[in-house]
Formats: sequence, C-alpha cells, structure tokens
Amino acid sequence: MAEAFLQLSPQLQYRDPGFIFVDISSTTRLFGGEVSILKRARDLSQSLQLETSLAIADHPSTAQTLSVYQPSYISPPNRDSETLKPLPLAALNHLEGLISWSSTAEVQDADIREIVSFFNLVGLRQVGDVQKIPRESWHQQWGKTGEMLWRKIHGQDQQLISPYLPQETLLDSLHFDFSVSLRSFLLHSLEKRLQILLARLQGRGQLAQKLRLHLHCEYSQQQHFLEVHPALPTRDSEVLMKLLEHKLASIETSNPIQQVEFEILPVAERVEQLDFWQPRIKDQDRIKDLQGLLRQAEINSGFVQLKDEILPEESWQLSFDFMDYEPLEDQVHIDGQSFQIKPVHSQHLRSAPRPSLLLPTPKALSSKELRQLEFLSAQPTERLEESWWEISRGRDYYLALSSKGECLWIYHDRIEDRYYLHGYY
Amino acid sequence: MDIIKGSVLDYPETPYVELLGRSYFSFLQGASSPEEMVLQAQELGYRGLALCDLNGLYGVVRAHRQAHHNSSFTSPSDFASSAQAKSFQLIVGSELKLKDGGSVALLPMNREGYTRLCQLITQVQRPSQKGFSLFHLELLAQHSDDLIALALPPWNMDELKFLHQQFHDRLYLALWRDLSWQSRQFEHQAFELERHLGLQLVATQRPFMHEAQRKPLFDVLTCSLHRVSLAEAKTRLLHNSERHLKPLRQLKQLWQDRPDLLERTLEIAQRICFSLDELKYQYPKAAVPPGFNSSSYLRDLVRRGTLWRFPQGPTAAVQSLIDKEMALIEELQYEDYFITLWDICQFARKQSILFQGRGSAANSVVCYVLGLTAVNPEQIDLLFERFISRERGEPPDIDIDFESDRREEVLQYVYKKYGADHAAMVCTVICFRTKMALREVALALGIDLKSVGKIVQSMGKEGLSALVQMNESNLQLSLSNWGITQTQFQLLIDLTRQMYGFPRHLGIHTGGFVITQRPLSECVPVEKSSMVDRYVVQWNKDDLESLKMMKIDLLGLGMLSALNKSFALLKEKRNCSLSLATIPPDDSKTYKMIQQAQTVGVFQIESRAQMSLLPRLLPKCFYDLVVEVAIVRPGPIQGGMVHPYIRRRHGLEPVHYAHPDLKPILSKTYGVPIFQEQIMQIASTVCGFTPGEADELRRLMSSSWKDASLMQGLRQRLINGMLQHGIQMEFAEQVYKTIVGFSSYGFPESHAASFALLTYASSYLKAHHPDVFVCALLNSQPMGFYSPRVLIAEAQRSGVPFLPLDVQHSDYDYALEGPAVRVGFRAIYGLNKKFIQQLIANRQRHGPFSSLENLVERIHWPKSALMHLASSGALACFGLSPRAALWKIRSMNLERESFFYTQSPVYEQGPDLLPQESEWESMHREYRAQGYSLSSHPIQILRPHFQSTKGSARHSLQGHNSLSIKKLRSGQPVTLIGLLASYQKPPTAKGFVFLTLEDEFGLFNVVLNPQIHLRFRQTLNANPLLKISGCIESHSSGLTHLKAKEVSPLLP
Repeated sequence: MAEAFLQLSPQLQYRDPGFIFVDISSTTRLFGGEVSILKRARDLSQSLQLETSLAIADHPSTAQTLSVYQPSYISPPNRDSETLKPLPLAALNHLEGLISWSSTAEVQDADIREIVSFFNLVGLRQVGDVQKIPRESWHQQWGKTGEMLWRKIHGQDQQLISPYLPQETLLDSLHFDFSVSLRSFLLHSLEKRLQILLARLQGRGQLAQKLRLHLHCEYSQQQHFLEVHPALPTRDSEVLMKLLEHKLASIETSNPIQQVEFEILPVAERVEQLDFWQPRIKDQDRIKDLQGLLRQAEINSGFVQLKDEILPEESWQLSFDFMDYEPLEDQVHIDGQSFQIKPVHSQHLRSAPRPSLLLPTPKALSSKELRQLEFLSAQPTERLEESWWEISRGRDYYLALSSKGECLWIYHDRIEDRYYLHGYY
Repeated sequence: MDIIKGSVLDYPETPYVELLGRSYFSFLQGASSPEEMVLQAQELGYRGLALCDLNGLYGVVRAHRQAHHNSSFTSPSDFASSAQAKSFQLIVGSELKLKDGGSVALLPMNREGYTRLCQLITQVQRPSQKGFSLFHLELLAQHSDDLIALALPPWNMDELKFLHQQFHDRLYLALWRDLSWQSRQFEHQAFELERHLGLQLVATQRPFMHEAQRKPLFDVLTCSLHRVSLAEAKTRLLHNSERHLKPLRQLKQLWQDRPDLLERTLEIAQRICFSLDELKYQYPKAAVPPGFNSSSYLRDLVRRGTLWRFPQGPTAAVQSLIDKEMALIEELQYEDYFITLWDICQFARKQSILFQGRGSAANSVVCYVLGLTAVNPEQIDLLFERFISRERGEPPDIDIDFESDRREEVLQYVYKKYGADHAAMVCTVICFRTKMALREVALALGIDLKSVGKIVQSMGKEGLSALVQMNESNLQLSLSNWGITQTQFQLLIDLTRQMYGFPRHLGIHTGGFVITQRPLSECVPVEKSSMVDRYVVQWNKDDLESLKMMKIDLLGLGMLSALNKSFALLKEKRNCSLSLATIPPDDSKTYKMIQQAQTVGVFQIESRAQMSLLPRLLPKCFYDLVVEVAIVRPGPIQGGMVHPYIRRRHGLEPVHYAHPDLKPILSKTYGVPIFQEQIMQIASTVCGFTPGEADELRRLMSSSWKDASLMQGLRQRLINGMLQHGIQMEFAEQVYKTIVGFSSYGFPESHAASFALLTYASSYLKAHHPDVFVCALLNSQPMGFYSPRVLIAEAQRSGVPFLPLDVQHSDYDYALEGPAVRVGFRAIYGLNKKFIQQLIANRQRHGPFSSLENLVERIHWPKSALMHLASSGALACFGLSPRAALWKIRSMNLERESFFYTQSPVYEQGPDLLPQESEWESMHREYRAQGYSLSSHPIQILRPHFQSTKGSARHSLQGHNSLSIKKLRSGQPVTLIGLLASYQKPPTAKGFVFLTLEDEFGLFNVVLNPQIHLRFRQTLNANPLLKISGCIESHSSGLTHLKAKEVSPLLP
C-alpha cells in the first residue's frame, strides 16, 4: 500500500507494523505547501479506504510520535523539540522513526519501557520534564540508549529516507462470503479494489497494459478467465471498468461467483534503462514465459506441491514457484536419554494409493449409473472425515468396476448421502 | 441403549475383550474417562477391557472402581447390570512407546507380572521429565516374565525378534481395522509374519475414545498437544472417528474373514489372573524398643498418654472407649500405623513445631491420648465408627496439620526415615478447569489470544454460565466484540464443557504420603514430580482409598504458624508464657469480641458469611464455636438448617423431632442436623443402617451423589428403614430431604471441634494481644481470608500503632518495637529473601549504615533490588525522599568489576528536577511496593473530591462511611465509596454476590442481587475502587449492609 504514496515523493520508507515515512522536503512546494500535502495524503488514504493517522515533522521519529498523540499536526520547522514537550512520557515509546526499537543497535543498554516506567516512578510525567535532564545524565543512567533518546527528544536524530523501488506484483483477490450472481454488485466490489491497484500503479509511474481476472464459481469448481486489454496502456479506472463490464456480460453468472483474483500487467510510462550488470533473461523469466504461453493456451500449469491434508483433492496443489515440501511427521522430543512422541495420526495418508486420474470436480452419480457399477467390497476401503468445526465432510471411498471394466474410485458422501465418482485407477 | 443391548442378545456367541483401551489418562492422547470406557464396554456386552494408558497406570483404579462398583444402595432395577459387571474383566496394562514410533502394551498375567510392570514403569518414568519416557526394548529383558506383550505397528523385524525371544507365546501382534490404507498395510504385513514366523495375531479397535462423538474433542486435545489450531493441524488429526468402542455386531462384521482374531482376545484375557483387589497393602513395621512388639508398644504409649491427658485418671466412660478402640485397632492390625504417626508427631514436638490432628481422627480417644488430636472426648460425643469401622474394612484416615512454614521439616523427616523407595507423596490430578479448558478449545478453534482474554473476562467468576445465560442481543454484541461466529461460540461452549475435568498433569497432593514395607514401586508406579527430589505415586488419594492403602496426610496450616509465632512473641516481648493448652478457657472478653463479629484474621470465623452470623448466633461457649464453624458450610446452608437453628436456639420456635428416637441425636443442636455424624446416626437409628452402611452413606453424600441409580437405591433403603421404624411416610420423606439437603458438604463434629480450638485460641490472642496477633499473622502470610492491607488497617483501627519500613531497624519479619509493630522487609514485593538476610546480617555485624553509598557498598545488591528498597521508603533514614533515592541508585555504577563502584555520578542534577510527591502519589507508590500504605487510605484522599462533586450522589456521600451507616435506618438510600476487600459468589447463594469494601473507617458489606450483579459484573471485575449506591438493610442483631442498586468505578 505504501506504493500509492509514492506519488507524494519518491523517497519513501515502509516499516512494520503499518508505518509509512515520506520525505516531502523536496516535493512540498510542488504540492502547494505542507498543509496541502497533508490534505492530499489524507484524501489518498480515504480514497483507498485506509484508516490512517498522519503528521508532519522535521524528523521521522517526531512524526511517528505525533501521528499517535497529535494526529494531523504539522510541527513547525526546527521546532520538533518544542513540539514534543507537552506529550506524555509514554510518547518515548513511539520515537522509533525509520528503524524499530528491536532493530536499533543502541537499544541494548536499557528497555525504553523500563526508562518510561522509571520516570513515572520518580514523578516525571511529560517529555518536557525529561528534556531538562542533561545529556550526560541520560548517558550515565542508560548508556547508548539514553544518549539516543536524548537526541530524539531534542530534535537531533537525523534519519535519511531513501528512494523506494517497488518490486511486488500487482495482484489482488476478492472473496465473497455470499456468492455473487449480480454483475453490477460484482463490478462495484471490483472497482474499489481496482482503484487500489491503480493507485499503486500511479505511485510506480506505470500504466496498465492488461487486466486479468480469474473468477471462481461456487459450484462444481467452475472457473472463468477474463482479460481486459485497453487499446493503449492506461490508469483510467473508468475505461478499465467499462471494458470489464463488457467482458463480464459475456459470461454466465447463474453459477454464482465466490472468488475473484485479478492482476494488472504493468508497462512503464517511460522506457527504463537496464542495469548493465543485470542479465537480460533469467530462468525465472523463462518459466514465467512458459507459464504465460500455457495460460494463453488455457492450460493450467505449475509445480505439483504436496500438502498435508485429509481430503485427496486438497492434498496437492499447483504452485507457480517450486517449493520444498516438509511433510508432517511424528514429533520426537529428546531430553537427555528420555523422549516424548507427539503423534501425527494421519501422516500415512500421503502414501495412500490414489487414482492416476483424479477428477478436478467429483462427478455426482445418478442411481442409474450407480446400479451399473460393481463394488469390489462391501466395507469402504477408506473413511475420511474432516473440518467438523466448519462444514463437516465425511466420505466413504470404494473401488468399483464400470461396465467397461474401468476401475473407478467412488465415494459416498455421508453428509449428503450421495455417491460421487472421484477418479480412475 | 436398548438397541445396543438387543444387538448383544442377537450375537451372544461373539466374545470380545478390548485389550488396548485408552483413557484421558494418556494425557491429551485419549478423549474418554476410564469410567466411560468401562461403562461403554459393559453396555456393549464386552467380556472385558484392558486399560492401557501411555506410560502409566494412572487410570486403572478408577476403571477398576467402575468395573466392580458395588454399593449397598444399588437399586433392584440395576441388578442385571450389576450382575453383568461382576463377570466383566478389567485388565490392568500400560502402553510403552518406543522412539521409532512403535509401541508395546504390557498386560500382567498375575501379581508378579503386575509388580514387574510397576517396576518397569517406575524405571522409565522416575528419571524422566513430565511427559517423557526412557523406555527401550532392552529393559524388557529384566521384566518380561509374567507379562503378555502386544506389539503395535509399525513393526521392526529386529524388535519383533527380540520381543519373540523374551515373550515367546506371550507375544501378540495387535491389528485393527479403522478404514484406512495404513491399517490394511499393517494387516498385510501381520498376515505375512503369522504365515512365515508363526507369530500370533489379535484384533483390537485401538480405541482413543469410548464413542465416536468424542472425535471433535480428541482433535482439540491433539491440537493442544501440538500447540496448533484445528485449521493448522492437518494430518496431525485422526482422519476419521473409527477409533472408538464399537458394537459387537459391527466387530463381527468387520472381522468376518478372521473371527479367530476376535476370539483370541478372550483367550488372552483368560490367561490373565490378576485383579487390583489382590494388592495387599503392608504398612511398614514401626521401630519399637526392645522387649516390645507393635501391639504392646502401642498399649504402653496409650497408657502413658492417658496419664498425661488425664492426670487424675480417666473416667470410666473414657477408659471404656480406649479399651474398645484398642481392641479394634489390634484386631485390624493398625498398631504400626498409629506408632508411625505418634513418631512423626514426637519429632514435631521435639522441634517445637505446632501441630494438631483433625478430621475423623478427632473421633478417637486413642488419637487424643497419643497427642495426635486435641479434642477432649469429655467435651464432645465421639463417634469412633466415623474413624475406624470393621465393616468398612478401610484404613483409618488421619490428617495432621503442621505449621505451614515448617511442614517441610516434617516431610523431610519422613523421607529420611523411610527412604525414597518406601515413601512417596500421593499425586493430585490437575484437571482442566473452565477457564483453562476454554483457552485450549478457543486456541484450537483459531480464536486469537486477545479475543480469548475478552471472553475469559466476560466469564468473570461465574464460569461458562455467564456466557450461556447471555440474552440474544447481548450475545450478538459480545460475539462481534470477540470477533467470533455463532458456530464457533457454540463449539467453544460444547467442547469446553466436555473438556472440563480432563486431567492435564499430575501434581503433588498437599501432604499425602504413602509409606510401605516393601518397595513402593512393587505396588504402584512412582514418577518424578515438578519439585526437586520429590516423587509421586501415579494414584491420587481416592485411588489409594479404593484399594484400601493407608496414607497419612501431613498438611500445612497457616494459623498454626501464626499461633506458634504469637506464643513466641509473647514469651520474648511480653514475658508471657502461653500455649494452646494453657490459653484460659471461656474468656468473656474473647466471646464479647466474637459476638461483635470483630473477627478479621481469626481462624475460620473471619469470612463475610461467618461474621454476619456471629451477632445472630452470639456464641457464649466452646460448643457454640464448634457449631459456628460447622454451620456455615454448603451442607447446612443448602439444607436450610441455619435459620431454624438460630430461631430455636433463641427460643423463637419450638424444638420438635420427626421421631422420638431422633431426640438423643439432635437434642444438642435443637433438632437440626448440623454435623456429619448426626446424619450417620439418623441413618443407623431410624433407617436400620449398619454403622458401615452409615459410613458409606457419608461417602456417597460427598462423592457419588449424582449417580441416579444409587440415589434411587438409597432413597428406597432410607424410606423403607424409616417406615419399618414406625415413622410415617410424610416424616420419612422429610428426613430423606434433610439428608439430601445435607449432601453437598458438612463438617464432622470432631473436625469442627478441632478447628474450633484454633478459632478460640486465635480469638483470645486477638482480644488480649492484638499487636502480637497481627504481627504473627503478617509473618505467616499468605494465609486466611484477608490481605495484609486489611489486617493492618483493622489493627490500626483497634489502636495498634505501626512503624514504617526502615533499613536501619526493620527485620525480615514484622517485629514488635515497644507497643508498635515495625513493618518487616518481607512486606516488599519481589525482594529476594536471601538479599534481605544478607542486609540484616551485615547491619548486625557492622552497625548502622552511614549513608546510601555505605549501604550499597556493604550489601552489594543488584540495582533492581535496591530500587525496590528505595521505592518502599525504607531509605528515608538517609534524608532522601523515595524519588531522590531512586534517582541516586539509578545513577550509580554498580558493575562490580568497575573501579567506580558505588561512586556517585559526576552529574547529579537529576534529583533537583524531580517534583514533590503528592499524598496520592506517595500512597500509590507504597501500594505498588508493598500492597498497602501506613500513612493514608486511598478513600481518605479521594473522599473530599467526591464530597465536592455535584449531583444526587453528593448529599448521600457527605458524612456517610462504613461507620456512619450503622446508625441509618433500614431502607434509607445511600452512596458509599470504598476499596474492594473481598468478592464472594457462593454456589449456595442462588446468584447473590457479597462484597466487602473498605474505607478509612473500616469494612462494610454490600449485597448484590443476581440481576444487579449481571449488570455491573464488568465494573466489579475491572475496578478495585468503587462507588456503590443502594439502600441500607439493618438487622436487629446490629448487622448492617448495603443492598446495591448501582455500581460504578470511583476513578475514570
């Protein structure tokens, strides 16, 4: 999300949890002063429906503190020290700035909270009270931490914000708790999310070349793939929404949409100059190209990734990137010579024989079809039960022969009391 | 159930014994209690069940008790099931895990096998941490005789060969069919092994629960074990709910290709000829002087004790009691037990450790003359059968309280005397209580910790009922506040209820010891406890009682410490020799104080309920105290005994008896049953119960009362007995209801009398030496009902001056300095005792400290400890305010290797910048440092602020406090402010809540009805300083309390 704020200044830094620092020293005039840039940032937050708290100060640490204790405050230039004076002592906890306390080298002699609690103990309540304490005394009491805090409360903490180069893909997804058939509602929901992606695009100084959508239907695992391709690269949400509306009109929504994944394929506003040392084509690019080709041919591709799940269709997935698989095993804890075993009760499932062709969507069998099958055993070969805490699922699996002699993998859904074909051996 | 019973009848030829039962004593790896497993197996028509919990025999006694439950009160309708229970075989066993994932279950074939199993488990558990095991197959080389081994897959050929060499035809491979490919693979492998190596196979269900409905709970337990949520648990969970006890019809169908494997379960069971009933407890032979045997030595001790207790010689009645008891003790061969206890008490006496026996032992004259108990048989009627009964065939149960501070010395003496192989402590099974269970279930359901905290806070002290009873709109509001769905909430409630009472781990019983003649591990597995060098047996006190094993309870009682410390202080500071035996009886000043309910700090009668009863009961003699101690119990309260007793005692209603035979039993309590013994006597006298049956009734009243069939049987016995005695049906029902009303809990008279002795002693000390008493009480904390803050405020109000902490004068304990009490260092929170002892030793050796720097240099404390000291105000002697002292210590260089150690900092501008401490800040600091302030009370500081506020509350606040409300008439509206001192919601009070609040003038009581409590529950839970509006309710006895209508926090 920080990318969206790149439009205020290219010098931007993001820090967990949820802090964005923007160096506006060189862009303030461009936006008409600090008041307008603050307003612009607030408007941008609101348009993106972000709950933000903003403040402007000479130093990132002061700005962070003000955003907590005096939101929307603009500290006059060179007056950070004065600005901090009336704040409660707990404000010291928020003087981190670009680097969090946990990553700050100086915070090793003492814990900031311990310092605050000590000041409280001796009756000092505001930052102004402790500003009077001489620097040497801070050092004496709390070493480097004290020295650093002294600098921060006296506005002498210089932190530089570097330019930010975004790398993340412009992907988003939307899940509906109640599946959607109404196109207008679908469009309305997508519009808001799309605006966020476009804001990110704007921050990057890029345009949308293509918009790809992957819609998952509620039933039978039906999916739709849509691609919106404007005549010229654009950031105009209206244009993109119009094109999207046309595309959506072409699909059948009687099987309601439950989830949408969408991605913007960006193109630079201007030609980027390649780094001399950067290889022109990487292996990853080749794989992505290949995947792109396969996708154009409507072939879903990826690496088969095993998963520790109970139900067969959930125990693997296609992954775009290759990842090592570490199966769940019994946990053996050793304490000297003694040991403790925490069992993984269903670890055997990953080696259970599964059909060579597993249907992506199990096919419900009619009673007529069922009568034509010859079940190889009266008892189920396997009983799988799962997710009783959400939607209970229970299946009895059987092997059955079709009239053509095919060996089928059938299950009886114990909740629905229906039979399904799940695969062929 | 009828259907299941029907199926048994349809398949009478299918004999089956489940050989691998598992209960929740496999700690998070089993989801049913031993009782549920047994009951289910019996109801399904199994011939037996082996309980094979992991690495222990924790649940076998409970399963045994359930399997062979036999009560005098079993109703005829249950005859069939009890007959079935008689033929049911409960097999003892344990499953021992191997490091590679396989495991071996061992079933003892006879007593010798059982001994080997206990020794083996002890060997693998005793050196290991909780939950860990040291088991490896080689250990079986020494312990395999007389044991049957069931090898569980996955099988390793080397291991199988080893097991085969050790167990020969006593080795079986266990197979199960749980509708998984894995069980098919194991089966295939097993059939191969059977074919090629001739190994024997046997069928099992490998049940982790008694019924399939427990699968969700089992999954939650698995999540707890792995510390993951259900969504994260994946294949850690069981893939289906097949691992439960199934009907025989299903089993037969499941194994129709190999019915022999089902039949083999019975063959194995038939090879086993061992029951826990065979365990014969042998008490260790007591060391007796030459020329004596146990019997003659005990007689000699009793003779000498009789002369000591009755210097003028015992009365004929007492002598006859002694003779009767001795005859029974000798007949039951309990002499060694009594000698052992006498020996332990002798040790305590020699070490000047105060002790006193209590419980049913106080019914025995022999215990009295041996000095184990202190209740004179001439003071109350003793019911010896309550202590030892021939019919009951159970060992006597003697509880002895020692000074809590010094109990460890007694425990060490027992360990030293008998050795760790022959003495171990009884375990306590720590079970999941509501909040703990709710946390585990919530975490499994993926509810985040913050929300769990909110839910727990909403529960308050009422537990789940607070959540369940929420109305729809409140519930919806709460659900959105907690961020959980209705489904999650329902699951949370259901699973928490199921998990409640499940064992979590073993703890040490507060003082129960088992001592045996033969090594203890021959009888029960012993394992390490969380305390260093402490070992516990795998059974709790009920288990031991079931198997008729003797235990001795050496308990700690804070009041005994306080009394002993009082006596020592009196001797040292007031030159007054006093002891429990020499406290003047029937002292009027003491009884006057008790009648006025000025009993804060007094043993047993200091609770709000007790204090409110005292002015109504107006105790005048020792026996009144015995009644007072016994009457404020759930039993008499629920049975509605309190008000009739008081009315009859004051002659406000006539005393009448349902039957003339009841008169001798109930006359001393005005026809109202108050003591357990009276209930037993009623059952013997008018219901035809034998003394043994009467005792069983007592045990039923406290434990198995909820068993519906037993209740029905008991009712029939009681009513029929009374009808036969000519009591009319109407009266019989009334007596039955009285007994039922008494069921929850009631004191035996002997026990109440033991406690009343301490009540009187502590009251006497408070009345005559309040400074000494409060000093001793504070030095025995934590104990009792009230915090040091309340005790000190109470003492200050009764004129005892207190001197503040001072590094130049204070000792570790509170001490008497002239007429005042000097606060001791023990009052400071979080200060290590060793540091304090070092400071005091330094001061004694080298004299007073000349300055702060001198103190720091001499005692070498870490900075944090010095700051605790400064914060408490103990450094005022150096002319430093607490804040200045804190600043100075914070600035000091206290790195020992530094040349600048303790040198004052170069820059000392800090202290001048520190603001002056206000009265509120000073009080706040003292509360943080030690939990109270000697100089001011928070309400004292806040009161002027509230008196100046506008609004309706102003008028009622002006001038009204804990003292002034006593002069107000009933019904007058008033608003009071106070600091919460106690909060009680007794289960017997039908939802009413009782608060005690404290202001600068004293304590006042507040009553909240259930609706008001529900409304202001959150405020009460979150705020100690409260403003309560309501109206006064005063009683003719002088009792006044505030009936609350509105509660609000005093501070925003």
